[in-house]
Amino acid sequence: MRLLFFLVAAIPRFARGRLVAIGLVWGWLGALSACSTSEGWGGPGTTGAGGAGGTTVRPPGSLIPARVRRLANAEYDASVQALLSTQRSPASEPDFPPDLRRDGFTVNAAQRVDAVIIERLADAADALATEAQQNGTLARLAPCAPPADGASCARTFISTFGAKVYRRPLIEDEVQALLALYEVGADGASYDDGIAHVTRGLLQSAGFLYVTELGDGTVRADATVALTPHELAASLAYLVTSAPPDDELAAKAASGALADPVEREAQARRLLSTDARAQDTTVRLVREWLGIDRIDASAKDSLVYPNFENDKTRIVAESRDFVRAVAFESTGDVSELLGARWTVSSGPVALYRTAGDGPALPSGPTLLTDRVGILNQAAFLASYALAHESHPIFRGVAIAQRVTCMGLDSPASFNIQVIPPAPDPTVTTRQRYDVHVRDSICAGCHDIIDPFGFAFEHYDGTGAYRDLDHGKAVDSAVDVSVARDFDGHYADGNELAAALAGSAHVRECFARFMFRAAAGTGDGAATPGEDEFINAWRAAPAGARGNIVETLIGYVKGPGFALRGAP
Amino acid sequence: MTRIGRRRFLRGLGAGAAALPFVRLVASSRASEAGLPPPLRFIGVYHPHGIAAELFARREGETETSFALDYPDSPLQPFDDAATYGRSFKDNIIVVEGVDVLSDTNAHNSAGTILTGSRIVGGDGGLPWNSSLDQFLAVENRLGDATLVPSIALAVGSKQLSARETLSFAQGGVPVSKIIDPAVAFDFLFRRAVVGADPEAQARAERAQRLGKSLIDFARGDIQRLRARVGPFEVQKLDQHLAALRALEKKRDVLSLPSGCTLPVRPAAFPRLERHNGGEPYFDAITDLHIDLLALAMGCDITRFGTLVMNDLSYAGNPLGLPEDNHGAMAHVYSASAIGSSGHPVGAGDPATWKLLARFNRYAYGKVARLLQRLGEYGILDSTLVYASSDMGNPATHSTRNVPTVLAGGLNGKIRMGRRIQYRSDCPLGTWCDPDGSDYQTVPNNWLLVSIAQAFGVDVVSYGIQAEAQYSTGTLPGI
Repeated sequence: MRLLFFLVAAIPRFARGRLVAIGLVWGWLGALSACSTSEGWGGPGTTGAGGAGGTTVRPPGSLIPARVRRLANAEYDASVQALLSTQRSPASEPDFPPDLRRDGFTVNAAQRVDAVIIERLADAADALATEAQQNGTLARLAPCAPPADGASCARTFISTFGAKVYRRPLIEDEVQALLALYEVGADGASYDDGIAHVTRGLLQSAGFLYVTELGDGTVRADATVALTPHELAASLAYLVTSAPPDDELAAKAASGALADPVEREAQARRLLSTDARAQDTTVRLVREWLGIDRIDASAKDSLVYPNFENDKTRIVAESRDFVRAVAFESTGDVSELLGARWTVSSGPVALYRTAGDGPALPSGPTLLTDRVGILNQAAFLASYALAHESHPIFRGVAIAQRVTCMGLDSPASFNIQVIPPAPDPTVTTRQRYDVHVRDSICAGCHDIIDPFGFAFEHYDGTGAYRDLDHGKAVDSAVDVSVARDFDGHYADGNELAAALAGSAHVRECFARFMFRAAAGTGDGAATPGEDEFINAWRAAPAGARGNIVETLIGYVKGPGFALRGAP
Repeated sequence: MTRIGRRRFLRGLGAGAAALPFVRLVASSRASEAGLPPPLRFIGVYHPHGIAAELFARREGETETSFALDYPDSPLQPFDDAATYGRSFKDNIIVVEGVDVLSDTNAHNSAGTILTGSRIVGGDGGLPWNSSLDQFLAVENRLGDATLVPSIALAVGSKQLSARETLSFAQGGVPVSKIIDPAVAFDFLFRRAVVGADPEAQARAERAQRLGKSLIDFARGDIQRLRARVGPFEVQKLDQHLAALRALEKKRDVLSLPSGCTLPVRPAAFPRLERHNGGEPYFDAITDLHIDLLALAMGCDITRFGTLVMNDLSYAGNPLGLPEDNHGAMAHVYSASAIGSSGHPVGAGDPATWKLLARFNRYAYGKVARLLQRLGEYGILDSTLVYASSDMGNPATHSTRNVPTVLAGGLNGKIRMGRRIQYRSDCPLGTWCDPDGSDYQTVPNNWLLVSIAQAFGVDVVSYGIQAEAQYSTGTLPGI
């Protein structure tokens, strides 16, 4: 079907009163299929699920292909901290390049080592090895007492510590290469210098920097490869804790126990309940899902929002602490994430009131609030806004894509030029976007997007509550009509959030995003295995389905965790 | 670190920047000694906010070779301003109108198409499909192997690796990390071991060399062991890692600069570097330092491939008197006439808005002129090609048609400079045409990339992934 092409030009701002848009329609109308409300999960399309095992070849696209994945910055830091007990976080320092994100997620298979990153890694390896030599860590990890000689102690160190670095036992070629490093380092110097040199090499090695998902080389009859026990342990550990396997997980790997999904589940639960890094990881995944980790690095127009810099610490802390509290101290359900009437924050109580003084709210870290859930918190609202005003379309698109999986294509794919409304201080922000309602071409998609965004117009570009916008009363009443279980009339963002919180559709969308976070493919193309995962997820008990942790456990237990498509 | 006021810092910076040494005729004299033409260099430059086409377009009565650049409100004035830049560059540039950037996405995400010629895939966080011209030439075609540093990607104010603000992409369309700190750029280009003359220092240096080499050899072997186990798509990642390792290996050597080339002073650390974080007032000084370092590095033949992503002046009290919100109150109030709307009859437009936008454009082209000045001082302007572009033409309508394109340099005469070329992207119905319509005619920047690649001696007939082969195939006529 032909798509529509048209030009919308804004009359220059010398026109009095409101923005007048001239729509000049060329060509002819076609179906705007991407903004229909028919069943479709938006984002990546997927093919049908294959059977479990058997000898039929799995359909293409039903499994992630065998691959290697460079450690994300947070994973690198956690890994060197686990290996050397260092306090440093080299990949979080200002000069270290930021993660390449796919679909908003930092853990993905697209990350590379380029000319800048390789220098930072070399510098970090040098600093870490030097520190570990000087503070006695290496002496502890690589003891050498007579009658043993340096070379044989080095071999022991290489086999044991090297196995931790590579997250698997080393093959003889690797041991020999590392022994050669020892010899160069110790030549004309000491045993300790040799060990430090081996450490430098290990921290820059491919075996360390890339998590492998390749199997042992055997291709099964159904054109899949099975991850090795050590690969299973590494994948599980990084998924749950952003860190390498601990000793117990490594031992389970060595015994082959992790091929059993029940055993994987048990290990995942153990880590989630005992490892603080697991909580940090869960918080990171949720924040990346909603894109609210962007708030950490953003700023606002200091003339319009002079207090934002000061408020930012509180806003960031709230978004982290709230997610942590929901996931690990409360129900842990996405419905609570979206629908909670409490939050965790150190800010003044007045920030959480929507109107007037009202009854006293309990103070302290967990406090009741007039705001419902994470979408009505400042981190979300300020992330999806401009430097100097709110942006209901950013918020609407974020909710449509990330919360409800409505799967909108960008206007450019229809050759529609997006022209933001000219600044006009006499009307509210919502009024300036009214061309979306009046123009039937815009309305095709914007009838979906705009209600999600306009509902939050009581919050300015920093997420602060307001009754007036440009001197006029805010109108936050919206009608959502997209043939979903959250359709309805809502007075404001609170009511909308409550409806989204109760939606089975939203729960499933969340599950899909957690799958995409775990799978680390996220390039907008088909995410292999997603349908199979969702089919299994739908079969889970109702209470488990919206649960953040249970959703991740579901991924760990699934066949898609342990198998990859043969290269 | 003691806090010093911004103004004091910037004043002190001026003295330091002036200390970058002159390097006269180094590279070209070395080459001509050997009887060879000077090596070719490429620099890609991005400047935001499109162009005020009414003041950029070739004027009535002018021709391809007969034109003026210094008319009132011209954004191109810096290219004909000997008083400021030492000489006129009118004979060293080509101003091109009518080129489109076929990004197939929101214009704001289109910077990624400027040097890749690729559609941006994956929505808002999308990326191009293929590598950018600088990386294609420097890495895939190994033209960067001849120098100590194969290539460098510089940026002002933002390290974010999105198609919105990245020019350089490795194989597979993966963004190359950008350096936003001139001190880090200095280290990347010039940092080497400094060796004392005494025997102890020499022995230490020699040991450091051996250690460094052993680490490189080990890393290479380890990557190659992994490379042997992966499928063809994954090989690309490891090949990029190997290329990065080769680049690192070269830096293990003690730097020996060609005679006449003096190591510059390492730039001072800026109090702030990043956008939305107080960096804006320093962007001007950072841009100047990046330009000076890049030109010097090229003059000393440290590298031959570089990109620079410029930023704007979105802060209160900026020296151009632009509104604090360059994007909302300058780019988006631009009201075009037909010239700025690719011929569509939208009305007379508002000349005040053209002049405002042109003021920023002139600032950006002033930076390009500074780059040309430095390249000229080092005697390498004629053997370089600078390709300066924005992501948009008309920034108010987010149009990726008629994107401002300025070429400069000369590539040893392979491209004839001193011209103003107008291509005609026919679209009589307006800014948007049906690509399947018989009247649709675009002049994609892909053809320019093909022409440049061929001028570098790389035998390609197409460049960049597009929906239709015709858009990515062929050279730019008349270039």
